[in-house]
Amino acid sequence: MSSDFVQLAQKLADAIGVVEGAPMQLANMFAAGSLAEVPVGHSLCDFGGPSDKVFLLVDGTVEVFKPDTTGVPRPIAKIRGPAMIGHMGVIDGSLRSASCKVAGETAAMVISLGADEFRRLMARPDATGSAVRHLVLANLIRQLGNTNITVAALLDGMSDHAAATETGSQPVQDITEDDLHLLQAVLRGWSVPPRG
Amino acid sequence: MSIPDLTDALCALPCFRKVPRSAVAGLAATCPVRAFDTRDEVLSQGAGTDAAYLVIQGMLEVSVETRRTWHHIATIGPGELVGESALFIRGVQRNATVMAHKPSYCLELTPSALSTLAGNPALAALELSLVAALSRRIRKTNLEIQGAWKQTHPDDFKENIQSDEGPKTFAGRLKNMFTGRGGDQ
Repeated sequence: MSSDFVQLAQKLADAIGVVEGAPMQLANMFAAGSLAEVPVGHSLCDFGGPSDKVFLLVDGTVEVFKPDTTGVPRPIAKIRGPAMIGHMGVIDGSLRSASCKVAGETAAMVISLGADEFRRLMARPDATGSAVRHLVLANLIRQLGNTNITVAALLDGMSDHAAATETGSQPVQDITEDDLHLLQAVLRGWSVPPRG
Repeated sequence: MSIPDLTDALCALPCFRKVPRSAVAGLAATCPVRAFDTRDEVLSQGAGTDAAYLVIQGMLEVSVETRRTWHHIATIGPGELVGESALFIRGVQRNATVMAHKPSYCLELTPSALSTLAGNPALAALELSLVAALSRRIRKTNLEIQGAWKQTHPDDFKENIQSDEGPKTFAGRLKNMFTGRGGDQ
């Protein structure tokens, strides 16, 4: 087992805050994929495409694009490594809900893991399966928790105004489409709640 | 509840139906059962404890306090887990209070029990069931958010949006979704 993979597993577990990171076991997930340098501007996945891979962003930046209500792709989040990307579609069998492109000044180092291999690892009853499941569970729980935080932040200070808007006593002022995209990015694990 | 009785009760839960009884018995022997009477507090909002509870029998209710007002969020029944954040994420605080809605038996899970049980197929099945449940919750939340946006911005869409009786603002709908309130108040 490459010590680089163990270090990377530890970094990823720390970034997510997993209780039992088990880097030695988690490194087996990295070893099961294929590592590649992806140039700036290249796509990892496209909106509406099949969710056939999970990406482990080792180093670099990936920008997430989602079509707005008119169908025009809009950048909605930037993900910096180490991070896990594209797991949602593989878990629930849905199509890609966004496009991901390598961004920034330098190429990204990305490990691609086939969907079947990812699901096989996750279903293993041994310590490796446990480490993968704990990483995934921590990610999903963070996504939901961060969504609650984001909603609270968006609603904070709006309650009085929103109530007045409902009764028609003030001109309509509401959460914007940018906020909608932020919320969806947080829910899907591409972004974290804004500070402050 | 004796270990054989507990094992029987656990084997009847959907997540353990395909798991060998010996593995479920291992789970039953490692994790204590807690009994709660109606209105007993299971988890307290803001507390930093590290246990999660798998409901075996009975029913729990989840509430959140915001601005000194309690909002009922969810009801948790047999086979469902509450407090799972503490099992998998470091340093979390409880973001809701959980109370027994009726007399309930729950299996108490902790990070140390998970370590002890690593490799047990019953634990793997429980964790996979939780992955599926969380993923469904994320998908459902996403669909509800999209639906709320469509209802409040029907002109942005080519399709004909059938309007409902909900709040006119996206903020109002979000408030309903995330605090379980019946309308803008």
